[in-house]
Amino acid sequence: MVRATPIRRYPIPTRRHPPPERVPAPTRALPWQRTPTVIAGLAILSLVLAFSLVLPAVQKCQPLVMDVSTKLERPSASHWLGTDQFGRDVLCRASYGGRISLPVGMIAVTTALLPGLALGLLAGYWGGWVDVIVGRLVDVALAFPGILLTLLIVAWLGPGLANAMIAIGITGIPTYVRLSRSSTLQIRKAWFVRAAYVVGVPDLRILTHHVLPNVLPTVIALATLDIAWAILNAATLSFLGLGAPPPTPEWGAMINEGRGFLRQAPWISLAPGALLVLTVLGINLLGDGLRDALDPRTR
Amino acid sequence: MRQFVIHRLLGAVPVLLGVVTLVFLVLRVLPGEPVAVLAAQGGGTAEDIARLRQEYGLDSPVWLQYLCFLLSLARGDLGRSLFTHQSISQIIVQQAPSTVVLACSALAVALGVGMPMGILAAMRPRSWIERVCMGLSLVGVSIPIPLSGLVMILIFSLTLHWLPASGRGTLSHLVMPSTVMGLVSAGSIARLVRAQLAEILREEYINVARAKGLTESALLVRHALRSALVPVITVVGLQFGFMLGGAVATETVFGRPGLGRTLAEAILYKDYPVVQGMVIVSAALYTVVNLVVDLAYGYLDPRIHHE
Repeated sequence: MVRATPIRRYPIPTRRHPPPERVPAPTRALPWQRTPTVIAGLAILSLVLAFSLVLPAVQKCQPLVMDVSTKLERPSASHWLGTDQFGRDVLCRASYGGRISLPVGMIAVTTALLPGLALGLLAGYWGGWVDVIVGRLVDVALAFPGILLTLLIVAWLGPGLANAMIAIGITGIPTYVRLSRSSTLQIRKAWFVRAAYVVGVPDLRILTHHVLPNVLPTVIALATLDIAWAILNAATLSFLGLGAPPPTPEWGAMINEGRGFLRQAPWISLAPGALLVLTVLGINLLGDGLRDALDPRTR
Repeated sequence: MRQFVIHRLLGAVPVLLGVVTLVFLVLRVLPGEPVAVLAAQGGGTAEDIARLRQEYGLDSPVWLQYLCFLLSLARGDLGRSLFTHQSISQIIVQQAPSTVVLACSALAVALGVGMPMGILAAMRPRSWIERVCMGLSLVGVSIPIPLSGLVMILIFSLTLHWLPASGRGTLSHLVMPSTVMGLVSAGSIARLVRAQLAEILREEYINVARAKGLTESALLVRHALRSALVPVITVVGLQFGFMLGGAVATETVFGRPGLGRTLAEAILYKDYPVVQGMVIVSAALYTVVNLVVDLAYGYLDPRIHHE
């Protein structure tokens, strides 16, 4: 279903302007509020957020300070999740990881979303040679299977967390181009867009005020799910030694650091791993629910 | 049909050319010049660098390099590794079997686990079976390969001593890597099968078949599954691509030789001809697989006519 954008918002001269459309007041509960998966996802995420924001502050721990006298200790009262090979508290480092992975996921998705959405809107709205060029570029980008384009960009930019973020972001662009282009194509044909065109609303304004609000819900649903994808990819890159460098308490890097001590001290890898899975699961639940609520086809 | 095949084949050519050009351009403007890295290893001087640049043809203009690159590609020559001086096509031929075996068995795991889960979930909507299946598939897509790999090593190698933690050769070496890689895809396959099947089970012709008195199993196998599987084929194509990439993490976790691990190492050591060759070959393979998938559509679903 295409929602009619309330045209009355514009201060356009009224003579040629169609009568203001009725806009139903949103009184009932929003669809997502009634979806149990959204609530479960939000609950898990707020747990992780509370953990990574509150715990380091309360515990006053230092994730980077090494202390060889306490290395590889089992979980105990003083170190709830034990210590790693450098005597650092695993709980402390794992809780700091959320402060890295969550922003990394969001920044990477934003890097993908903004250019992707812009290109998709342009290609879908104007068509013609813009569409052809954008379409060809997307085809080329999508010809790289899975994580390979990300790896190629990391090879180009060099390892590091910021570069990993950029690489993941660029890899994500084509999906957004495709999605927003196809939505734009649909919405462009809607009567309210034609009407806006006929009364002389400039193209750019039609795009930002009529097309964009209708493209946005599906794009946002995908973006939510993609944060999980970006976090997983960033962790995998760090695990391969291509993302966050070792002392950083990034979850993937921590999993990698604990690899050699799997037998004596499995908690070094498992604690950050568990948090990573919880985070990704929470985002996936939230994204699934949002998609069901926002996707016009399933409503 | 034949026209469609030709059309698709021709359509793949510019895409592949684009891939090749992109890879060439990206790796030619590398910030840390590999030749400098290489020369520095042998305590190299400026002359060494100049000699190496000449040796690898890096002193000629970019367009000439690009032309030479295209010509050698056309001859099937992907260049040589900067470090081992082994030809890249040889490296790929050496490493490919291990990765192909891994990808195929992972795909088997993915289909073997994902399809029954999706079918069960679709057959019993709103039941606890559906919730369990869909919950599990969500967990499956939420676990990163490095973590599930380490957990499996911890359980089956270090604690139970059932399976070897690394290496390759026997079937027991293959069990853990293919399960780890397969389970991630199993999650997405289960979700897709359920969505497809649930939609088809609501169709009129299923009611007709049921009214005829067909048993539920015959209904499922002969009528519903056949049309539900068509989109699954696409995903299998996509998953194959995912596996080419997923092999990088899996092979690293399990210390298993293969294309993925070679690629990860080549990136770390800035061995850019290797990166270039492997990325191009993977992208070409992936394009071919997707082409085959597209063609398979026509055979599986008679409603689709390629015109």
